[in-house]
Amino acid sequence: MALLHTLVLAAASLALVPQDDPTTPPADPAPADPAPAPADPAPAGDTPGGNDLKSVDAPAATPEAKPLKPFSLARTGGNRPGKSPHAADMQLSAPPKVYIIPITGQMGTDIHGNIEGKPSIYDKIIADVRTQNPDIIVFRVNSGDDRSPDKYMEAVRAQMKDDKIDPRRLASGLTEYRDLALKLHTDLDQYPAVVYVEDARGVASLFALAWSYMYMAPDGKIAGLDIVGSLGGGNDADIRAKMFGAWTGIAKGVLELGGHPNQLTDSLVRPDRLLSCDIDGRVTRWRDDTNGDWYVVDQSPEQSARFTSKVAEETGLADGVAVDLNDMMGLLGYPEFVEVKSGQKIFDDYNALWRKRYEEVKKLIDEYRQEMEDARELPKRKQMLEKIRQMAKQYPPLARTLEWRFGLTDAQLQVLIEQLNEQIKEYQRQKRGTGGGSGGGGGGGGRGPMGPGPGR
Amino acid sequence: MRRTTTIALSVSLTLAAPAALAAFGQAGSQQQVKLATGTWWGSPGDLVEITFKDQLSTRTMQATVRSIDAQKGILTIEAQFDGKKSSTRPVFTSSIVSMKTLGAGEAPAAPAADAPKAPAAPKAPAAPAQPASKAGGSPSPTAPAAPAAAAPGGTGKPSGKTDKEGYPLDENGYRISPKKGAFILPWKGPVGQTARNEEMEAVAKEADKWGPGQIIILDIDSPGGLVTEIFEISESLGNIRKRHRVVAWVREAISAAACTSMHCDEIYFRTVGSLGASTMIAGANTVYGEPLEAFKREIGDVIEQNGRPRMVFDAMVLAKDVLTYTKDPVTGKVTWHNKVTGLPGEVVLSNEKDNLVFTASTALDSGFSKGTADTEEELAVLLGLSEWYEVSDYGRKLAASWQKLFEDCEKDIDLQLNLLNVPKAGGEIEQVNAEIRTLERLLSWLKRCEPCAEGKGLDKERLERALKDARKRLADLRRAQQ
Repeated sequence: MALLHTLVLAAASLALVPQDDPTTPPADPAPADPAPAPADPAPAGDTPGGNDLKSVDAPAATPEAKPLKPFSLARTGGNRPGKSPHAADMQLSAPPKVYIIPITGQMGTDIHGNIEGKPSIYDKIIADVRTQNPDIIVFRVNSGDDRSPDKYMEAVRAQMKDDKIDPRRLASGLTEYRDLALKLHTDLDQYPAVVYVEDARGVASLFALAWSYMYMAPDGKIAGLDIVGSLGGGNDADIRAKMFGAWTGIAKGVLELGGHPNQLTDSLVRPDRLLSCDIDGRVTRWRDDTNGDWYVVDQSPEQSARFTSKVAEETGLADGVAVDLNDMMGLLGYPEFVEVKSGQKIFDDYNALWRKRYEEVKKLIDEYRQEMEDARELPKRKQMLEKIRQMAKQYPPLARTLEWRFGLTDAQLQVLIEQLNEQIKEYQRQKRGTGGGSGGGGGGGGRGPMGPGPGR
Repeated sequence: MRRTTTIALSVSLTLAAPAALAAFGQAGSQQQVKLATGTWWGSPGDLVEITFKDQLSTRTMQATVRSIDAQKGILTIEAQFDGKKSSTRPVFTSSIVSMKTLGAGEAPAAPAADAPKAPAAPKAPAAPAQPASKAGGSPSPTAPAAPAAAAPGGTGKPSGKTDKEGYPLDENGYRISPKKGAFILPWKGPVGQTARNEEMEAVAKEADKWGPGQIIILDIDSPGGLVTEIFEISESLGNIRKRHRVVAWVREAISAAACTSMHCDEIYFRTVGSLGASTMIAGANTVYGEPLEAFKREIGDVIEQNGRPRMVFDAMVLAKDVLTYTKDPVTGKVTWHNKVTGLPGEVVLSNEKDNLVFTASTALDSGFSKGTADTEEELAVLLGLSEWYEVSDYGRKLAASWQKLFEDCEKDIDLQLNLLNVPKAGGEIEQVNAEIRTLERLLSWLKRCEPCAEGKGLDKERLERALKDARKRLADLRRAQQ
């Protein structure tokens, strides 16, 4: 951390050096070209190091004018994708407004994209970000799948026996997570963003590395993307290679959002790949072998690369280690900032609500599973199922949890309701004395994942 | 300290400003373009001899100026690159060494520098003289060139007439588009099911109304699907490409979708894009022997004709096939290898245990893709359009409508098949009646959405037989009741 402070200070002092001094050594191996002609095809306004013609057009002398986009020779600016959140690059005249976007909880439920075309909670958060118009966005990542980073796949198999959600299920929404990460990038592209990783184990690691600026909590970990490769399978070597290639290719695509090189992304998702690095000035050169002279991260051909905060910081994967948000903002160069908490509230409220509904659903399921004493209870049971179905429709994470925990889908609920409908009709017919059919007669309901059900 | 820094930086920007701004001064219809050394005056449509830095080499060629983007400092030129068909590409004015007008050409198809709204360029920086920016693939000799979109239809003189739908027509009877733009077809889901060649053909037919030379973008997000469909797609795209410029924009193109992408004139990736893994599967096993050889031969031929190396496709089909590439450090020219050569700088994309899947960065670096764009505006820049403009939303509507029908069908068939097992109140007659209703409904799905119904295992003959049988049983039951 001390090193980081020094670097931030160094960045600020470097920026003071006149830019047109050709003798000034660049702080970064790929600094912005101070020449006036736009040699870089990227839109200058999007890169801290670019020549911002639009900013030049702005009347610099007018007090109300928007601050110019500065050049940066700092480590902070670099040539990484995305806008730098560092104070040295942003040159704000007031403490920044910092908007927190939580990526916390369980993958696929708390953290989800569009499920069956329905908007996710992140759509609401994106809209709120635009309203709040912050200076910086912080993606707070805290999600794991209950596995320790050691003996990872053994833990998967153990968990499956233990009646928990198979971590591969959590990972199976990979394309949904990919699309969510891309959406957060493209929709919020105008804001400098930084990730704060409290913990990222399993498929959540994708979000930890999907932006190019990242800090980690002291006990944070990034590990377990080998779960992605295990999504494949197949009867022969070629099918296994195909499925493995397809899944890992999709996961690597998400990591490319963070601008990470192939050697790193490969080793994160593929157990068979090794990882080490050299440090060239301030730039990390990742290698797919163990010959790196700075650090050997992964020398096992049986598990994918894993990072503790210490290793991440020392290899330059993380920009630093911060004990909390305040500390991270300090490291970014902001002694003061204004935290915008509305995103956190939207996220927390929604997840608390669907989880509350889930508790209600669990009670309904327990009640439904009780033996029915009388056929007159059939309508009540039907109402229970209809209520469950309605709540599942309203909250996609709840529907997903029902499927994962109970194997209960919307189609199955519809069938159960239809069974009850027929049983009710039959009961009414018998009550009227007009029976004579050979229908279920109130005895056959409740089949499927809901257990015993009525009539038993 | 912060304040001082700001001032210092402002000064340097202010100093930089005059030269940068001077590059785009205008005089009359001609525009002034500040080059790396010297200035060129001209306008879109001019035929020029241009020398510019491309990676580490310097190229000289005759080209037609298609547009001048004042805000970004980009000239879009049309020329033959690497001996391929004529195509357009952006060139940064700062990389142009010299430029000489050879003659005034035809009127530009695209709006020129003073277009009201300039597009947002792709975000990430690229190396100098890699004009396609986030994009800017290396000039690979194997990368296919786009067919000429330079002489699109709908650019003839207005005839003063309109068609039935109210579109103004040109003298050739083509609809006139107010701006140069593109047609987009979201191509999502399993190939042969929600992603089909029928929609491609329909969009091409729609594009025909605006005349040849339209840009059709397949927005691909597909995990692959039926091998049989790829042969139909191959034929369809072959025909469409004779008339239009077909572009693959890849979010996910796995298996048959990868083959489809490689049938297009150009491939662009999203940053998260992945493309590859085209192993041919039947049931749960890989297909080997003659069917595989025929697939590799037939599809490989087309891919090769499209300017992409066969060994790229081979490495996607079987794990044993290796793919690596090296780049000439001076020219940036990419050479593909089907074995690990050990040459300096060699990049191994797929070893003997892997199935090749490109990501955006590997595709861009190797020249397999022509660029990376995450938004339509970024893609427009790469396509040489002055802004994102959709000539028609026909493709979007068509895809949405088919997708919805397919999803409805899929859900309803699952439900109906499950409901068949629900015992009905009212006895056997009611049970058979319900069965008849379900069978009729399934048959109707077969008519409305055959790929989905067949994918669910429904067979028309068997359903009709079952329906006939159920009706007979119902008649028997009614007779017995009487």
